[in-house]
Amino acid sequence: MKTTIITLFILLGMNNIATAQEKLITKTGHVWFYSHAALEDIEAHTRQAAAIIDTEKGSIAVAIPIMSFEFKKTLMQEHFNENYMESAKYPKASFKGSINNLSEINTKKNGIYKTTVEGDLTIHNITRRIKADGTVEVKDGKYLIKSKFKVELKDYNIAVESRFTKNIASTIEINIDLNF
Amino acid sequence: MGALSYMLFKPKRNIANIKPEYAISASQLLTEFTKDEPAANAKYLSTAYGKVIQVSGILAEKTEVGDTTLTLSLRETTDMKEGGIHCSMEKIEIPKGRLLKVGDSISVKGECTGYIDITNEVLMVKCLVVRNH
Repeated sequence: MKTTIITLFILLGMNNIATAQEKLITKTGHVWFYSHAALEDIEAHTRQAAAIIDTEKGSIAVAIPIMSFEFKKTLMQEHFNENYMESAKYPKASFKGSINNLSEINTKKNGIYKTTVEGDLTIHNITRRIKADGTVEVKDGKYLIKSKFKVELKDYNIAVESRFTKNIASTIEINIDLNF
Repeated sequence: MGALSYMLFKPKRNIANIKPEYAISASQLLTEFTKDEPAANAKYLSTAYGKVIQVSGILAEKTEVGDTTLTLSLRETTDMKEGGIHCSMEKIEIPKGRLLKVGDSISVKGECTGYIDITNEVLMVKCLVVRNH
């Protein structure tokens, strides 16, 4: 696909992502989250996030399999799936939205471009409108899209029992790295 | 006491020592998820983990990202360009996975983590290659 994009640019003599009229796909997106609480820090990672960007429309769809998150502590992973995310019932988190200034990104010039994404984030079967800052890094025809934002557990109907409030933060930081 | 129990050590699941609950072909597994995703979720996901399953198929695609991520895509034939089973290999299994060639008929054991509609793939993690026909 990279070759196709480059060929298109040469043919059209254009050099921004939006004129490529291509779909960019990744299946190995890295998503991780942090919880900083009084008694402990918790983090979990997955490298199974899938994302599709329609470069013409500037739209992005991301899907994250919840059961693929790995924790250092086995018991935490079990609690995460069983008690908080109900992963067997709601196995995916998703984001559908747009990348706001995709057309201003020069794909021929290596660099890091600031952007914002906006759209519907669904976690634990609850959908909310979010807006987040992000960056698009262009490096030799490849793209790395990064975003970092915070979510409140209560907004997604995730309840932490009172005995764990010193172990689990009420606000979780989510990081997303998508490589295309 | 409840919070204390949270700290207790519990060993990681070793997929190599767990007998698969289902052995199934890549195309059958994909069909189950595309026909009735909630039913397939109920069958292949338990509350705490994805169930350990063994899937057979043709290695249609191999993707390596950095030195920690190797994924194998299993399909019915190498002619199929999309859909299939997306297997993220266990780290210690990556050298073995690198030796496989597109077109090889293989079986992979791992935890099922569900289905992703935007790529039309069933996902597995902690995968081991159990049979190279």
